[in-house]
Amino acid sequence: MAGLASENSPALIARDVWKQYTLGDVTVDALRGIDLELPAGRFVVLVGPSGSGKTTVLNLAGGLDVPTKGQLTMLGQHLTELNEEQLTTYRRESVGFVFQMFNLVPTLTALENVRLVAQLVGNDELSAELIAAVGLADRADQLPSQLSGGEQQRVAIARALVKQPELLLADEPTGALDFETGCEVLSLLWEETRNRGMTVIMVTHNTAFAKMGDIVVRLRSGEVVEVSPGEASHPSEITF
Amino acid sequence: MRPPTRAKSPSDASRRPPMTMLWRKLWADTRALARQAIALMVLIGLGILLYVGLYEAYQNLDGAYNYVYDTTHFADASVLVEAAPGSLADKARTIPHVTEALGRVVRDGAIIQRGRDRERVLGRFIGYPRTFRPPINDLLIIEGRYLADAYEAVLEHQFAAENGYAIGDRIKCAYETREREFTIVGFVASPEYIYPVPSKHEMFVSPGTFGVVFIDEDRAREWFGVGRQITEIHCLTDPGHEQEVLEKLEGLAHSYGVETSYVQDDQPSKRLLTMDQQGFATLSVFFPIMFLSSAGLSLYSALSRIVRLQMTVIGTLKACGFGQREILIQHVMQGVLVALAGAIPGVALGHWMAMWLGRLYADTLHLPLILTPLHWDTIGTGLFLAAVTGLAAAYLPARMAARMRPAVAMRGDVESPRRLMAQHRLVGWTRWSRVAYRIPIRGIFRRASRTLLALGGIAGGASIIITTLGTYVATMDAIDEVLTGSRKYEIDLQFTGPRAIAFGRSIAAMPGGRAVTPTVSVPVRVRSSWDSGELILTGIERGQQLLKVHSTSGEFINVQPGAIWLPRQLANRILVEPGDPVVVEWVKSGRRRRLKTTMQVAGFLDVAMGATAYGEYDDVRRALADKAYPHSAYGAFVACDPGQVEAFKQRLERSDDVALVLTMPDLVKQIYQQMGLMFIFIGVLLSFGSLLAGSAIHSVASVSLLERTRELATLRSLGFSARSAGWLAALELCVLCALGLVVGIPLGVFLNSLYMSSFSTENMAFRAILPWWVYVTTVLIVAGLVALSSYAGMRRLRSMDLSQATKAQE
Ligand SMILES: Nc1ncnc2c1ncn2[C@@H]1O[C@H](COP(=O)(O)OP(=O)(O)OP(=O)(O)O)[C@@H](O)[C@H]1O
Ligand SMILES: [Mg+2]
Repeated sequence: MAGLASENSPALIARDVWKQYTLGDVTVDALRGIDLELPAGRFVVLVGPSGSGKTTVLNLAGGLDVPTKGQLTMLGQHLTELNEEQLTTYRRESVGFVFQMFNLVPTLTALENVRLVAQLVGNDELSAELIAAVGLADRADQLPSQLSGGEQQRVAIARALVKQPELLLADEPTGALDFETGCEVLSLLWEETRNRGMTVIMVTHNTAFAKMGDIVVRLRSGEVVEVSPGEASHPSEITF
Repeated sequence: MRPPTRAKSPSDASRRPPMTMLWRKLWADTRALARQAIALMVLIGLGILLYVGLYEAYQNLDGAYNYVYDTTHFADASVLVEAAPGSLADKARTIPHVTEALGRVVRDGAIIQRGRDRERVLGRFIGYPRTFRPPINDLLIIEGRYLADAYEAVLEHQFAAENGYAIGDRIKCAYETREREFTIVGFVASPEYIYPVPSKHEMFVSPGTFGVVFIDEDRAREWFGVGRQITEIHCLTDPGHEQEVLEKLEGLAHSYGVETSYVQDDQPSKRLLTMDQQGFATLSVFFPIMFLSSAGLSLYSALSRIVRLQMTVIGTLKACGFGQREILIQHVMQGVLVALAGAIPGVALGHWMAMWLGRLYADTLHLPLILTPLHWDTIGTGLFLAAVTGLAAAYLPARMAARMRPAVAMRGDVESPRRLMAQHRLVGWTRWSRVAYRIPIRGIFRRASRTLLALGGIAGGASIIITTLGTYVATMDAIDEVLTGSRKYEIDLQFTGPRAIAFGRSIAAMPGGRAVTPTVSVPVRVRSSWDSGELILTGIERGQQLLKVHSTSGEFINVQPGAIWLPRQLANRILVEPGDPVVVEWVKSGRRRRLKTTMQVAGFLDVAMGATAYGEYDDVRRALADKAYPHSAYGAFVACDPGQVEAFKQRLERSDDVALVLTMPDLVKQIYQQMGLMFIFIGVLLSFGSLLAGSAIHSVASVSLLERTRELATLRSLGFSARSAGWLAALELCVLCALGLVVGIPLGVFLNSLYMSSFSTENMAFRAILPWWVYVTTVLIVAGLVALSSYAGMRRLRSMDLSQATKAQE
């Protein structure tokens, strides 16, 4: 599945994308007409102040939510035109998620959490390999509650990678981790996705981590204020 | 402009002392779980409602009876003799602890009422002084006035109402061949006939077929030809000395032939009422306990859930310096408040239900009055029970909250890794290759306490459903046995005496008549070497086809000379086996007339209503009935064209040979009337049982779906469809329900037999039969509830906002 989209065709095309939340009489504009094109196979970092709409962009890109207005095309599919079933298929086959709070299934072991998703797409045989790749071969049979935050996030990354998705979405994957553990987790993410040629959209609060991106998109108040090339540096080289 | 009271600035709130904020949090938490809190309140409210409703109904009945007993000076000890001199009453007064004694004359005969529905019915004529009111067993005047001269009569009011008598009507009474007419001047309630039965052997008397007529005592003596003699002596005693006085009284009356004797509690009408009341008392304890315990369990699981959900909050509070005590009190109060909030409407509705039941009961039994005061003791107990349920349910979760170490709490880890790992290793069958299927199975092992509670709720609900259906089946079985299963005749006749038997044989030849078989009945005491019991021995002909009674071995009984078929309840009590000899003596057998015979136990009757034993017609007649006459009854079962029952009945009633005509349709009417209350109960209990199972299932469903919002949302964001994520949750529910049924069905079977036996007496043994459809219905109800909950859960899952749910705190 990886590499189906050519280097040149964009992974994300947003045309005047709006997202509004209605809370009683108040309407919050989380996104105000985003226009954006992101090429496939790149590591994109999304930065911006709190409340600027980063998570909203990611949710829309991952098919967890639909725009209020506008056109959103991901990997050549017009998400705005898909029904729930097609959205499920899109999430299943094309997207891997990494959450800030890990969101592992608490009753399943590390390996089972990976296999759960692997079996969904028929990649069961890759599970053990990926658990090993994230450095947790000897902890594979432990439950999430027995793992540290960094270890849990590695499991979550393995879970996202095992599908071999074209697109990996990560919302502050280091948000719940300390700087060093964060660096380790990001290194893993950086290497694994680059090796596989995946498109990555990662949200981060930490401007230092923005340096690892090929492209840095800056949001403010629901609008894209800047799209600039990043330094594409390996996270281990990053310091404050 | 805003009203000033609502203009609270936020600084007001922040200035409150911390405990107040804690209470505000408690309120907010409860409101956030409003749906569940309401479900719990309903459950507790139902338990309290049932308790207060049934127990107050019991108390109201008790109050009504006691009012009648007290105001009429109901006799504490009574002895019935054949005939004794009037001076016996004076002698009785000299017995220590006797405060008052009354001798009276009583005879049974017939009331002849041409032109009314029943032309001839059983009559009991009781002589009372006309110049003053009797000091014992006085009458409550319901309408009209008391006796004033020798040609007047007052009538027991239920009989009067059934037969449409009015004040001023004449009533014709026959004792043996002598008829007398009286003018009715009043309708009365008697403590001896609140439940109008002639004796303890005759429990099922159709309404209106047994009339008690109170007449002037001197006129009665002249009519019965007994001179100055009396036939009954009644005493009032000092409390607690009833039995002792009764024994002395029996001693005094011994030489006059004691027919029967009893203390107040054994008086036939009172015995029946007490039995009824005990039914109420059993119900009022049995079902509320089931409800409150399952309400307590659900409350416990809900509160544990709140504590788990709020772990981080609790940890933070503790980190801020709140003490264990404050947190403990807070969480305990949460349970108590929910329980009381449910109990208060429960008490109110319960009181209303008690009044309603009282009215229903008063109507059914034609009780003269029913008192429905507020019973503060019961209300207090109800509220106390609710508070205790709340307290008990909340204590463990509260302690868990209070004891939680802040560091652990803040981490928010709620799983029990050790248990899950043990399950992971032990239960190989959950290691299906499809990892997704492991989620529901592990969900069950996730928290043993929660799973056990859910199982308890489902099992409890299922067992209530089974018990309720079992009650219905047993009731219908009893009715069926009395009415249709065994009786192939339309009319049960009672003749005026043995002379009429010749007439009986001609009945089958009358127009519309089909078949007839004679019967003879005599009240007997059956004695084994261990124990004895009283019942009616009925003689039926060999080979007759009109009455078919099942034996415990499943065949119809076949009577033989010298052999007696006993109801299994009695046989069990007096410890006899088929083939054993038993002494069968006339109940009133005394020094003057000793009447007994030895018979062999032929086998046991498998009957619900077990007040009758069977023997062979000629055998019973010769050995007992003919000698006991007029205390034995001659009659016949008559089969006729079903369409002609009424006409046939009227024809028979016109004959002087016939004392009483009882038709099956009358009996059906009467039994259904008596069962009416029972069916209402069954309906109410069935809905309560389903509600209980439903609430347990709903709470499991809400736990497995809603508590795991984030987990399920994550599954969906990983690419599981809403449907398959929903199925995973529903599967857990199904497995739990199946396990709940595995526990609940045997539990229900057990409770059902316990319940039936708690209702049974020697005369009425409900059989704990559970036909296949009871199980099927139970499973269907539970499965239906599961489907409903799953459907609601799936809909919720489908409409779930994924972007919200993935970040929701679990
Ligand atoms: N479900 C919702 N209802 C109402 N408003 C919402 C909802 N979700 C997000 N918002 C609003 O939309 C705006 C953008 O939210 P979003 O979560 O995308 O911000 P963010 O950039 O991810 O912030 P952070 O860095 O703090 O995570 C915010 O103002 C937020 O309050
Ligand atoms: Mg965010």
